[in-house]
Amino acid sequence: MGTTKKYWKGLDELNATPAFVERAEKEFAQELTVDQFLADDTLKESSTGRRDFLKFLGFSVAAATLAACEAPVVKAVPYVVKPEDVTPGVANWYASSYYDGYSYASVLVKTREGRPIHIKGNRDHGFTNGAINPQIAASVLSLYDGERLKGPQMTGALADWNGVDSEVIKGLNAAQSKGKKIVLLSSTVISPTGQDIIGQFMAKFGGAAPVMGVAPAEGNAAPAEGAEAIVAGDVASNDKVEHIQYDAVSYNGIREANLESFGKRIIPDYDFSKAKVIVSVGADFLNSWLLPTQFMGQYQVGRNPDAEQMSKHFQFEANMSITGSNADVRGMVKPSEYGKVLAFLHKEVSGTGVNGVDTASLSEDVQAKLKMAAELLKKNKGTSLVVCGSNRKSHQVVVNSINNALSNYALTIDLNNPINLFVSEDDKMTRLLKEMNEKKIGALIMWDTNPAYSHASGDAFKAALANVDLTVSMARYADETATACQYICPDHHALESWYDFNPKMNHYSLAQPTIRPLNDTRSAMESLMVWAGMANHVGPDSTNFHDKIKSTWQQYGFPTQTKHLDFFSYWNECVHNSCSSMAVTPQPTPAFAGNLANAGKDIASVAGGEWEISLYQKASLGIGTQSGNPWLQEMPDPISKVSWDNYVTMSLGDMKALGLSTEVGQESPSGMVSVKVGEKELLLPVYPQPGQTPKTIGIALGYGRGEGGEKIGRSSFHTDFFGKHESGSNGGRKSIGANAFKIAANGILELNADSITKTGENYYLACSQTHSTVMARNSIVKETTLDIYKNQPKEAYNHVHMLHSGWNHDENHISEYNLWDEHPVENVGHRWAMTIDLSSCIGCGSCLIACQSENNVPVVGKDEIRRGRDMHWLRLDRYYASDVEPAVGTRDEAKFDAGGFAALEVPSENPKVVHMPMMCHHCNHAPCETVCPVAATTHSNEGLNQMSYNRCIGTRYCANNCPYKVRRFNWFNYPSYRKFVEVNPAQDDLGRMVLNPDVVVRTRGVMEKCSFCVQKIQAGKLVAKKEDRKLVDGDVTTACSDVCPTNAITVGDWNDVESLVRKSSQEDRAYQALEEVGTKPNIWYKVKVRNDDNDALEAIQTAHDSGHGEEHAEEAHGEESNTEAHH
Amino acid sequence: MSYSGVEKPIKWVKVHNLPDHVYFNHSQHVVVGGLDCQACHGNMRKETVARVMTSADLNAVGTNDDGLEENAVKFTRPTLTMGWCIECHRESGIDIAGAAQNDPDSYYGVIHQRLLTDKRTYQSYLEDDVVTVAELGGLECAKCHY
Repeated sequence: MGTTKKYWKGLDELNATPAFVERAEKEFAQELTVDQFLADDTLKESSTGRRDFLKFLGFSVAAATLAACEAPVVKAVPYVVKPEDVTPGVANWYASSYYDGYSYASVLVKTREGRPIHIKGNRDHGFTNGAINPQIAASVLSLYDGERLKGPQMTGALADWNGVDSEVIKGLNAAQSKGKKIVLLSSTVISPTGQDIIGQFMAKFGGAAPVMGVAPAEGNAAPAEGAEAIVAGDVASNDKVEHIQYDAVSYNGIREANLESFGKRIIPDYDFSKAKVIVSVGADFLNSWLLPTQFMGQYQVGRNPDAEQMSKHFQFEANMSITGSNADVRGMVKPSEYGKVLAFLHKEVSGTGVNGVDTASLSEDVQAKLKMAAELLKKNKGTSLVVCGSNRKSHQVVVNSINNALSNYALTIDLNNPINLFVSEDDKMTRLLKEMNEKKIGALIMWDTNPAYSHASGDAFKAALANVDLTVSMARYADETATACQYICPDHHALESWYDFNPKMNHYSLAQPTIRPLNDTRSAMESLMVWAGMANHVGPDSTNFHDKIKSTWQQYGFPTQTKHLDFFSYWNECVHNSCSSMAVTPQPTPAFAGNLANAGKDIASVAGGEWEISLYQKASLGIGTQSGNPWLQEMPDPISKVSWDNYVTMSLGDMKALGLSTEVGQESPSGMVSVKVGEKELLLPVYPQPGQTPKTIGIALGYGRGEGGEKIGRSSFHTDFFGKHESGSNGGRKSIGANAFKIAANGILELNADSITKTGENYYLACSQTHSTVMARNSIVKETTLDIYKNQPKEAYNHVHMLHSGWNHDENHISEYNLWDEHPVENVGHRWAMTIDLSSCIGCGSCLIACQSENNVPVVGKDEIRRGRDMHWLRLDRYYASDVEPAVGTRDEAKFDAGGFAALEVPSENPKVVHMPMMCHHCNHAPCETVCPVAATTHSNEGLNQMSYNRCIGTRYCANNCPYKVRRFNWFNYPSYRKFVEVNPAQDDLGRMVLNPDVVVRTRGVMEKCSFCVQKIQAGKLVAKKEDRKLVDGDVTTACSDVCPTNAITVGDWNDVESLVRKSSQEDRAYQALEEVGTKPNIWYKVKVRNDDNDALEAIQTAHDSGHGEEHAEEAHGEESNTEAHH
Repeated sequence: MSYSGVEKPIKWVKVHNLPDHVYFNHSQHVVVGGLDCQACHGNMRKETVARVMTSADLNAVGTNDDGLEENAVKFTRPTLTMGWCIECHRESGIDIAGAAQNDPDSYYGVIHQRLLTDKRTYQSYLEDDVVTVAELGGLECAKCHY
């Protein structure tokens, strides 16, 4: 549009005469200021700043308008032979599966004109029931990362496949003839076909006879030997060819413990939906532990306060994790105390203690909470669940023993349908490193793994690669490991390749490509096939691996079913559903044979330190595979709300003792500390984390990628004030954060720090929510306990705001009063509404990424986020209950009076947490609409608050008048201004491919906000209209409601009395945020119900009577003005 | 002569161009609205080169052309402008009562049912004896701009 037009103010300029160019350079004496804030790059190309443009407008206006009259000639090029399933303008959805060696889920991929633009969970098929995590949702953007390898590389230079293949085969043959070992190193392979290929590859080069992978649908057979073969997969170390599976985050401890306890080296399946009591010791099962895509949904099923029994969740942990923030009862312990907590629980539950473990040192508070947990566990035998996040075998043996004593190995834990993820065997990796240094390895082929980054001895591993004759990486990027290899044979992105998976013993799934490979890459499995002589290199349209998968399914899957008579229809159904499940034959649980004495010895040997570290994985970055993904980098952490950074989380008291600043704000820098563990040192800023156990710190994994300046995606690196990459100490790009994998020895993520010292340096964190509490506003977040919810009237926990009017003091509900004329939204046509159940929302952040992907929300980078200019249409507010508030939003009047708002800003040491998704409320009395001078934001008769970008002149009155603070202003032209080159994916041709063509990309100077996914509403309505039927639930969804793993968000037509959203909004728990303001929003929240005892809260909520309500409304009014004054 | 096997797409010159910030869907107008092509594209039978028709062209459709229905709306605004869209949305009616009679559970049948519960609004719609597209929200910004 206007910005792409070249304006010129004279022939000199148009022809760029040397004299003019010289003059033009001098013209901008204050280049930085004018340029920075007034011009943007497209305008700058014409060397006309905005100010100058206006100055010269007078005489060049004629030329400009003349130029504008020329209508560009647009050519429409139709398909010659139109693909049957592609209609321009209509999206196609493909069922597929996502697995990256870390996360797994059944997904649906949305494509437009052949390009994938959005990923959501598959609600119809697969055990993940539509749940995904932010990383899976964002993976569609990684597909279009320009730094992905364009083709195979030979010693750092681009090469062709045939050349590389012949060199690799030569190297493999040489290794074989020299009698040296060939090692395949990958993260866990859960592909049955992949295992078959690996087996054949190993056989080809003189390895042991191929271990046939579990074929699809062998599930009916006895918990197959095959399954154990994958899991154990143990090949003697003196074998010629070995496949080592190594996971950055290891679950070896669970497998070893189950081997000892039940004779099976497996990870059992867990069912959190059937658990009435959940005790988790350091396991962040809603975010990172094992299979959160399954656990999140299950957890929510058990958390329904309207069900017969709501589950009770105890969490004992050091960091404030997402799981811990959802717990009913949370105990703060040090990582070294996890074993003691389990031993204490064991004693309470089974009557026998774990020998040698001194549990007396646990704090009284923790002991009391553990006793309460144990009582409930015993009352709920068979329907409880105890899990632990530690990778120590001893801890897991005790966990097994507790679960065994509670008879949980039937309903909540299933040993007969093991999870096949994370088969990593930690000692094999150690052995490999040793053998590499002894020059015993002739060839090393790696894929889906990056040990140079993710292994504690990563540097040693990288150095040892020089001792291997042939090193091949099949990484997608020239990453830390790949750059040290002779050959890089890049693998496809997950969305470009066929794959089959066997994530759980009874479940087989397929991944199908949704785009032709963008680069000259080749599936890792096909590369192995080529090198093993099973296939020839074909090119981007190769069907080698696909044919192989198909034949595996034909051979093993097809015969197990009776529904389809021919393979073709069986295969089509499998591809259509993306998966196929088999029944599991129940087997008796083997007798528990764990050695508690040994476990006790190991637990006793875990010595605490002055400072203890607990490493965790963030919802956004996980283990850092997608660190170059700007959506994930910019996603505020669900707990700390810090984006674009890695930091140390520390308790407030410890920070004060160290003399660190506890303020986090735009102009309040955080202090840096040096964390020393042995020889290794991490330099990180410190973030004050309420709920962090004193004398412990938390550090996230997944940061510090590309410390050698590797090309792993531009968003992995720091950008400065001007948006340029900062230089690191080695002259290259400076990576974000520090690599905490370096200090995690032997796969154990809990360790002691030798010292933590303040360096004296300052560092600015970008935090999107700097305030801590709701500032005593009672009506934003509402929370109650299960007891009050079940036994008290609605008024107790869901206080309604009454107003009295007139001389006779009539008392009416606030909704009876209107500031303005009512919009005719009820009964007329549709009224789009949403309910968000705060009891269900766990704060995972998937909705935020889904919204960003659906609505082309720009990425703005760290500096802008720090200035509070984040653009997320949907944000997740996290509230802590402070000491003067027994629960969020309730307060102790006496203490409040003493400390005022300042007191409210101090969160408790172990606070209650509420996550609250917040987006445009589409108020029927919208304060934003009344102040817009140009009617750019208006109300539709379907209840939507509409934003007309073309009308907006950017006064920002609307944002100032919005009580929910959900409006976002485009301060810059994010898709073209140079400050955002390194972070905004829309700035390059490839990254732009991810944009949703149904939604406009907003330009500088306009306001934007949640549109309620109006494009999806219009599309949903059109479907109903074309079928000439009533619009029903499911026709209209929003990106956030679609993707929510816990079904916390319900969207629909409120005018339809049968609709889910109507019913949901009329439940007792439903309320509207800031109801007393009178905005009449179309979004309802539902009171969060916590299953705990909270006497202080009970005292407040049950003390309410109707008389108090009115008094309260007045108070609330007073507070509003107070609040304004405070700001 | 035999088929060469060489495939080459025809490059059509696109004459009906809407700006990027406008969402337009043919099926909404043809399938749901029941419009004929010539209502917006004019009488293409007479044309040898495609062009954007003027309002006058569209208003003339059916007056001299055999077999073509005359446009119910007489346009005064230049075609392919927002004014033109709005003019048509203001004047075109939707027979929601008829839809309700045919099938009360049809899309517009349900809309009719709901309007019956708010008679005052319905009456205001019916002042000109017709429920127009505009009255059902057809002029609202976010119907086309998002």
